[in-house]
Amino acid sequence: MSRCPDWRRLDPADRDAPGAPHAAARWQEALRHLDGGCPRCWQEALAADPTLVFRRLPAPDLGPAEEAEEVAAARLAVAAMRTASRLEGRDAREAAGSGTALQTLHGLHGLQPRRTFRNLQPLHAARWALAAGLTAMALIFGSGHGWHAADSTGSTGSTGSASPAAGERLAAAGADAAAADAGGMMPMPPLAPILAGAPGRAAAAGVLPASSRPSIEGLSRPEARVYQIDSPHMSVVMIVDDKLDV
Amino acid sequence: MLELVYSRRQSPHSSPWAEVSDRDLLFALREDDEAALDELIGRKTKPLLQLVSRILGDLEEARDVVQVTFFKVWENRRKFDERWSPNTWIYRIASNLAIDHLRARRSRERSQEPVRQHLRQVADGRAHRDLSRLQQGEVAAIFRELAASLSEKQRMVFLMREVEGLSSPEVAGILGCRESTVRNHLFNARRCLRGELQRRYPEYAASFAPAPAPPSAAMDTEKRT
Repeated sequence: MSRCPDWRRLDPADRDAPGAPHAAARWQEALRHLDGGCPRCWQEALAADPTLVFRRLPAPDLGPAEEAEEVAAARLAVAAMRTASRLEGRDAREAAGSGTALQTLHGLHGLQPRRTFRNLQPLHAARWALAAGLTAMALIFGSGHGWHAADSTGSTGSTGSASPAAGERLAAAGADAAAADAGGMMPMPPLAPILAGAPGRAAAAGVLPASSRPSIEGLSRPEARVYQIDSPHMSVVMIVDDKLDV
Repeated sequence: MLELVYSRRQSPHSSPWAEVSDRDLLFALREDDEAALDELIGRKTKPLLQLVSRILGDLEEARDVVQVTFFKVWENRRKFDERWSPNTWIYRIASNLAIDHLRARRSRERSQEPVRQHLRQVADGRAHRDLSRLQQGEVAAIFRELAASLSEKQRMVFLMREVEGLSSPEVAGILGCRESTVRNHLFNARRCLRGELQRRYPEYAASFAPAPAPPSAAMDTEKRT
């Protein structure tokens, strides 16, 4: 290790001064000495320039395992962003061509996939809260036409096992809330959230004939759950797609 | 009939891109090679996380910014110019995103000013009481507090030059400005930080000292010097 520099003779103003190359060189040498870990210089160096303390600003200490985890998370997140970006572009093209309600539904997807898989749970909760709120609103302001399946072309109905139960719970919660708000004065229709492409459930719901329902064109998300409430003046459509929940 | 045209024995853990330079990785990216993107993420995640977490002072936020950086690299892959240094280009994307993030955070913080003021008073009181016990982790908190008085560019320049050890030309390349501008930002950042440090933590420089070295280590040092 080199000799300890005389910190009192070093002027912080000279550190990067273009007109004082010798002083700058002395600083560089002194800093190399300091970064080498000299235990005696630290206090004198800070007295010369207190901002030197920030040379020891800690960075995240990533061991090999943590680094591998960060890399895996980054790869996953970037893949999700690319997928979302592709879907967004495709949907935008389709919506521009057909001019359907999909344009307004994009807001629900939240296509800003900046979260890692660690942060998904709060987002799920937020989505479900939003969906429940929309359900309650639609039931309060609707005229009792009930839920029925949206006509989603291309849906195959292959959903996760938890999804139907979750949908039913949501609908039941919406019904309870609406009934409470209405004080029991407004008769509520039976609720049946329908999975897109699940014909058995659609039949059980007593839906309107397909020809009289507004359709959503260009929807090709086999695992999306689609909810729709019709009233004479308004239709509310919700699309919940876990794949976009990133 | 099947014919084996090409075969290469490869370890399941080794990437075909492992020996390729950063520049060639970016050229492969331009050809839409997704494996090259994976390799780039593997190489650059750690250094970018270190830089961005120092800029933002928050690992979680830094993680978001780094991930979006890679996405932006992919989205803009065809704009990479072979005359540019790959590191400069990637760091430039990351630093622009970090600046955006800082601006958004400042805007959020302005809307929460009364609450923040109260929290700052509480934190100041605590810091002054425990001044003699400042640890390395607390340096980060102090920097975050003091750096609020710097512009985004000043903060970036200070961190890249002072902490990351990048040269002035490299910083100028990343931030897209002249070297003289870098020097100006650095000079002003240091002056501002020094003033704020002495104003808010007058005993700081005197009290912040490393843990005393064990006697044997100290003697070794003496001998070496």
